[in-house]
Amino acid sequence: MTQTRDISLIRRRLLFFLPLALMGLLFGVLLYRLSAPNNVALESQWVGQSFPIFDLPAATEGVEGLNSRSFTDGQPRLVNIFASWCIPCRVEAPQLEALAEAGVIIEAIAIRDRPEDVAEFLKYYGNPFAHIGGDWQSEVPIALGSAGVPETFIVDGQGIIREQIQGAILPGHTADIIAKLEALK
Amino acid sequence: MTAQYFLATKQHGCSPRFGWEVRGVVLVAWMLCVVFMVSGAVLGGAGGGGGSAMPPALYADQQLVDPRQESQARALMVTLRCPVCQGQSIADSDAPLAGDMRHHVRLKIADGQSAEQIRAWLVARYGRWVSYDPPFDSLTAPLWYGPLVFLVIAVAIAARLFRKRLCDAEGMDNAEEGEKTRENMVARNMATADENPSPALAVSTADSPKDIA
Repeated sequence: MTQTRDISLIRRRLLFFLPLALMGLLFGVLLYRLSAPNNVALESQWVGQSFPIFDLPAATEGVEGLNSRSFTDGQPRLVNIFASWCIPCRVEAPQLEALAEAGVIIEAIAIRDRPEDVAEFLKYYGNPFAHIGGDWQSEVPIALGSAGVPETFIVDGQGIIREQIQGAILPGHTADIIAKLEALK
Repeated sequence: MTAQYFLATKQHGCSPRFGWEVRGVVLVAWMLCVVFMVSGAVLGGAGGGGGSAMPPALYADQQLVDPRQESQARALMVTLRCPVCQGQSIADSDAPLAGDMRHHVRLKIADGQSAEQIRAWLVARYGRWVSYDPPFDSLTAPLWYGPLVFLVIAVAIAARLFRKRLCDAEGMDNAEEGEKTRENMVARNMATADENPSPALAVSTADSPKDIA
């Protein structure tokens, strides 16, 4: 009789701690997620659609503004979304230079950038761009479902978005991009 | 006074006023409050993003002139997720992109577009994930049913617990035994009732089905 009493006593003690243990587990999971939030790397859902219609003024002096009408001229091109305050954009500057030298048309959209800051950036990192539109309210990124800089879109001769490249273009990717644009011609 | 109540151990020779389960739950609830307060203080400064030197867009922080449109815009903004600070809505986020999104939402509302039109426009570009209002389909059904299921389970467990605790003496964790003890107590009350009738006892004797003639 005493044995069953002891066992049930132990059971009760264990059961007492069970909710606490479960809560501890829940806390662990919640605290982990609080410290390392689940940031989904967003991809644009607009790939495969026509590039949004826009008409942006020149981002700074000495460059031309960008109008989306020019995307339907039959020539495939890259559209590079960048900003002077964006560090990875500086990292990809040499690659864009290389692409421009290989004959790739690169249009640019400067996001939330003061004209003097854009001028400073171009002076220091060079200007491989055919046009640079100034987008001060993120109108084009929002219309594209884009959330970060830099991003580069491969657009075909009819203005259809073929691919979204998120982040800086690395040296190893330039040959791939040139090949893709050739295929679209 | 509350502390005394909470810490009291025995009462009337029966189970303590606040059993171990209740004390455990209160302790856990208290810990939860502390954790959330601390984490709120620590993470309250999160937000921002982008080193843009440009000021916010006009309608990022400025309200629309028409109050009805403004409340419509506001109601929509709290259900749209910020793509940069993904734990916040665009109404709460400090990210420049969120400010620009608020600006465009307000402009579209002022233009006469409906909240659902704007939401659909954004979902077509960012994906379903940008909306805090998940549609009801096979993928999100568990989200909707889940709380109900958990509630039912919780009520079932609580019902079982309360039945067990009915005058649960140490070592007895069996509902049947609890019932037996209750019947013994009722019998004892009946015995004393013959010598000392009182209205309270009349109620307790009526509880036992055997007594109803």
